[in-house]
Amino acid sequence: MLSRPATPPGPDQLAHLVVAVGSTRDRDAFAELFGYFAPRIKAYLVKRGAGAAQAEELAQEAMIMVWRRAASFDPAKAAASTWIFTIARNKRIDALRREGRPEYDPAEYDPADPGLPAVQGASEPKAADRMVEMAQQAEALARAIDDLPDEQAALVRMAYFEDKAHGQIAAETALPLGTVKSRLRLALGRLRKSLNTQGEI
Amino acid sequence: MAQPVQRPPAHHFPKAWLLDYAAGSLPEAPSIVLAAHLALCPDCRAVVADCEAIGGALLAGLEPLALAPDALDTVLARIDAAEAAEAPDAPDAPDFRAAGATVPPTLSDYLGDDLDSLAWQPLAPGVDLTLLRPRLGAAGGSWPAAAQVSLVRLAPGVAAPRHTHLGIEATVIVQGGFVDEVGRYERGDAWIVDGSLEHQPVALDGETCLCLVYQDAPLKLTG
Repeated sequence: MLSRPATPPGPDQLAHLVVAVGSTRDRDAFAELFGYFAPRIKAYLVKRGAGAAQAEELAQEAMIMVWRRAASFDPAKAAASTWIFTIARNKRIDALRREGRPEYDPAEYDPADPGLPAVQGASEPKAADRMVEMAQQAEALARAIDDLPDEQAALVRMAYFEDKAHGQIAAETALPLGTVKSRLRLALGRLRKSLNTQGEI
Repeated sequence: MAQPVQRPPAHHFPKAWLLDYAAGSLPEAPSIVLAAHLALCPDCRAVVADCEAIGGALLAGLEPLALAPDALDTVLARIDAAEAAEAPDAPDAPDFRAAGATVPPTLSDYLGDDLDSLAWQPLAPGVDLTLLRPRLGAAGGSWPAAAQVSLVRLAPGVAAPRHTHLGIEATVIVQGGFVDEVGRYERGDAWIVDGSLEHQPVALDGETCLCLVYQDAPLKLTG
């Protein structure tokens, strides 16, 4: 059994760990990822309504998915936490909500279709630079979430942790639907700004 | 035959819908329609990607909840057992594109690969529709009773019956286009209304219009 690192790994280390699992099936790297993410995935699932035993089981299944799909992780496109969030989210929808999730998959589309190419500049920055940038973005985003006004932060948490779409939030908080939508839009605007202005700070 | 000129969508979903979808809070029925828009809209895909990054940051910020002491060993043993028994996950690619259809592949899970073989219900002259069902069906998937997702087909130039809405309606054009009293909508465009708007879409000339429509309450025909 590995000893736990004293400080939790930062976003750049987490990305390297996923890459190591994907490229060399590195078990030590997986153990470190497990130590960091599995308890957070379990916490996420409990928040979203799973019982303790079910959350334990689903967190394990999500980490198995991380192992299996690690090779598809692209550190130039997303932070490790973002990628693992989508796995945990889909696992929950599948198991707890018992619904399908229609999902866009770029591999299934005609690359010549004008609606499809991702918006990107003419010169792609180097993957290593992008990876550093992603890690910086993850840190800036975490700070921006902490800095959200309470009224916006509360709605964002309801959307992510309480399985409430904006219409339901409006019904349960007695806020007008337009207010809920505009607060979410404002929150999203602030958080996206923290993602996009990286490097200029 | 000349292909119609295509462009990225000009009409989008509200940000709150995109955030709900990325957060995993948007139910399946409206998600089908939103995913069809995402398939055709780079701008909204970028918003969803940022919303997923927010989810990642929130996940990383959660207070950890310890797993059983042997959880890692259990997981590694399960990985070994699975890898000994089977090949790794292979993605199953629907071949909607091979069939020459323009309908986004996310829909093939719900509609199959051949639109002509679907059960089309006539609604008015030149207008018919087919209903989508929850993907998990008998396995437990169900939608709220009033929620409905349909693919509506308008023959070129045909006017749909004039109607108003009792709830929310979200429409994405997957082929062709229509005009109504408010504007012109083409492939990929999203059209969202909550209640009260009375309108009469008219399909553009030259191509059958296919619209994917989510409603959380029935339509009300007005004329």
